[in-house]
Amino acid sequence: MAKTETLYRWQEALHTPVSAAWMQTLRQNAWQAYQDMADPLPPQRNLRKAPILDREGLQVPGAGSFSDALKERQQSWQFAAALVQDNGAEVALTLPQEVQAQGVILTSLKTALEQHSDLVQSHFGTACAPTATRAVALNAACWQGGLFLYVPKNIELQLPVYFLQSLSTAQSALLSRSLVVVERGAKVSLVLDSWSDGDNGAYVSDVLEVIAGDGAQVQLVALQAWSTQAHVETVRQSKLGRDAHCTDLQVTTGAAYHHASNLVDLMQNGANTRLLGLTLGSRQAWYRQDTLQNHLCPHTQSKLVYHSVLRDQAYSFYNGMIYVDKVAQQTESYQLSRNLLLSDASRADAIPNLEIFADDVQSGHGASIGGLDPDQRFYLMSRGFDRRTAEDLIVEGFMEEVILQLDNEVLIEQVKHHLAMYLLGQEPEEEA
Amino acid sequence: MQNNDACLIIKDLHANVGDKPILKGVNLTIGAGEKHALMGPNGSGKSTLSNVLMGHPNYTITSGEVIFRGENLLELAPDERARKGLFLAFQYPVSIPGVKVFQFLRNMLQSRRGTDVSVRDFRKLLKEKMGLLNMREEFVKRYLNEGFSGGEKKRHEILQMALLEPALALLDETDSGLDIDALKTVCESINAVAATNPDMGLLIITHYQRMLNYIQPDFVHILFEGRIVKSGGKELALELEANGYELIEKQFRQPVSV
Ligand SMILES: Nc1ncnc2c1ncn2[C@@H]1O[C@H](COP(=O)(O)OP(=O)(O)OP(=O)(O)O)[C@@H](O)[C@H]1O
Ligand SMILES: [Mg+2]
Repeated sequence: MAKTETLYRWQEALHTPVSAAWMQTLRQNAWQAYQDMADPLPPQRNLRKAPILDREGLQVPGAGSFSDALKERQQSWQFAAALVQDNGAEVALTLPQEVQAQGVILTSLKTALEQHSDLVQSHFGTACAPTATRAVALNAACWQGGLFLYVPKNIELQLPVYFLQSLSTAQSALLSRSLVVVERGAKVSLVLDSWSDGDNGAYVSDVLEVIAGDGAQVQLVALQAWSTQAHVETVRQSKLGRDAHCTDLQVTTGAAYHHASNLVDLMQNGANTRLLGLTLGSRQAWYRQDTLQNHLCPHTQSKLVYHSVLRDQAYSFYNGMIYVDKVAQQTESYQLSRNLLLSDASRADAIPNLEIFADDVQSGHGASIGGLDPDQRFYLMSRGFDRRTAEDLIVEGFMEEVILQLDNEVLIEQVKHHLAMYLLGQEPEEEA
Repeated sequence: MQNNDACLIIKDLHANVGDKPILKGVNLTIGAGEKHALMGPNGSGKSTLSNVLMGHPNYTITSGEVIFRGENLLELAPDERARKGLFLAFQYPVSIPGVKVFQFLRNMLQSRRGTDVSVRDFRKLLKEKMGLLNMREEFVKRYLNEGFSGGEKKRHEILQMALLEPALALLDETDSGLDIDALKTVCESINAVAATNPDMGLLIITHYQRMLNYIQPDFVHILFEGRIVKSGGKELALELEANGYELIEKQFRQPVSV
C-alpha cells in the first residue's frame, strides 16, 4: 500500500487527544510511523487469498451500552474482578473491595492514564513497542478501548480477571490497547472475551502486552468470538522475567478474517511459556496465526500446541517461529500445529520455522494437516455410535487435548462450557 | 450348546481391498451359544474377515451373503451392526486422544441399550466388570487407548464386551500382548460373560492353543489364503500346535499365476 494512503475518516476521528501528555506524544509518533511504514510483504507462499475489508465505509463506534446479551455473557464466567467495554467505552466494572485492598488495579487504559499515569508510562510499550509493525503503530495512534491490569508483588488471585469487549455499532472500527503488569511472585489469570452479535462488517485491532516479573505466574485465555463479518488483527506480546510462567490459550471461533500474533519473549533464566491454540473455522473464515517463542536466555522453556478444526470453506495459516539466541543454552522448545479438515473445501497451511543459534538445546516441531482418521471413526461406530456422533467425539477429543493443558480446573470447565455453547449455535450448519 | 438357531451364517463371501481379493469364498455358520476358533497363518485374512463382518469401509464385498440373526448384515452400517449385538474386539485398537474412557464406555452402553444409564448405575456395573478383569479404577480416567500397554488395550476391549453383552463376539487375537496371568484373567472374564449370556456366539481368532485351553471351542476352523480349508473339533487346534501350518500349506497352497 502506498505511503500516501488516504486518511480515512474514522482514523482521523479516533486519533484524538488523551489525558497524559506523554501518551499524546507517543500517539503522534505512532501515527507518523504508521504513515511512513509500508505494509509488510506477504509470506512467500501460495496462501489462500484473504478477504478484503472496505475500510472507507467504516464509522467511529457510537456510545457503548451494557446490553442484556453482554450481561448474560459476563454471568457465564466466575471471576475475581471484571471489566466490560462496548464500542471501546467502559460500561461495567466489578472490582470487589477485598481485591482492591490488595492493591490490584483494574481499569480502562484511558482511566489509568488519568489515575496512574507514571505507572502506566513505566511499562507501556516495553513488551510490545508502539511502532513494532504498521498495524501496531495504527493501534497505538488510535486506540480507544483496552484495559490496564496491575497485580502487585506476591498477590495471588484465585479466580480469573474477566475482560469483555464488544462492538455494537455496525460497520465500525474498534481499536484497543491493553497493558497487563504482573509483579514479582504474583499470580493471575485473565480471560479476554471478545464478542459481537450479528454479521456486520467491522474492523477490530486489539493489542495487549503482558509484563510478567520474576517468578510471576500468568494465564491468559483469549476467546475470539467477533461477528462473522469482522476483520480482526490481534497482537499479544508477553515479556517474561526470571522463572516467570505464562500460559496462553487462544480460542478462535469468530470473524471473517483474523490475523493473530502471539509472541513471547523469554527474557530471563528459567522463564517458561506454554502457548495453546484452538481454532474452529467455519463458513469462509480466513485465519492466520503468527507465533514467536523467543528464547533469549539459558534454561528457558516453551511449548506450543495449536489445533485447528476447519469446516465449510474455512482456511487457516499457521506461521510459527522458534528463535533461540546463541546465549540461550539448555533451553527446551517445542512447536506443534495440527489441522483437522472436515470438508473438501476447507484448507490449512502450516509453516513451522526454527532459528537456533545455541548448540546445547532441545527442540522439536511438527505439523500435520488431514481429515478425520477413518480408523478412529470405524472404531467408534463399531461400538454403536452413529457416524455424526463418532465424528463429533473425535473432534471434541482433538480440542480437549489442547484445553486440558491449561492446568486450571476452573478455566478448563469454563472454556469447555463456552465451546459447547458455541458448537450448539453451530448445529444448523450441516456438512456437505 | 444351548440351541441351534443360527447366529451368523456366512455364505461364499468374497472381499477385496482395492483390486486385491483377500477373502475368496468364506463359508461359516455359528449357532447361538457356540464357540468357534479361527486359526490360520499370518496374512490369511482373519482380521479382514472380522473387519468385513463389522463393516470396515476399506473392504469391498464382491459376492456372497452374511445373515446375522435373520438379517442381511451387509446392508447395515457398522453402528447398526453394533446396536444389533455384533461385537469386535480389535487386534490393534486405535487410540482416540482427548476422549475419556469413562464417558466413552457409558455412551457406548447407552447406545447399545437405547436408554439412559444413570452415572450411579453405570459406576456400579463398571466396578463389577473391571473387578472381574483385574483392572484398576483409575483406568477409566484415561483417554481411549492412548498410551495403553498392549495388555491394557486387550483388557479394555474385553471390558467393552462384558458391558455390551453382545449376541456375537469376534475376538481378534485377544491373546496377543497378554502375559500368562493376564491371559487367564481375560479368558475367565470371557467365560463369565458367556456363562451369563448362554446364547452368545463366539469367534475366537488366535494363533495359539494357549487361549483355547481356557475357552474350550466347539469348533475349530483353519483359514488359509482367504478360504476356510479345514474345520474340526478342538483336537484340530492341538494338531496345528504340534505340526504348524506346513501340512496345510502343502495341501492347499494355490498355484500363483504370474
Ligand atoms: N487395508 C488393507 N490394505 C491393504 N492390504 C490389506 C489391508 N487389509 C488387509 N490387507 C492384506 O490382506 C491380507 C490379509 O490380512 P489380514 O490382516 O486379514 O491377515 P490376518 O490373517 O489377520 O494376519 P495376522 O495373523 O498377521 O493378523 C494381507 O496380505 C494384508 O496385507
Ligand atoms: Mg490379524
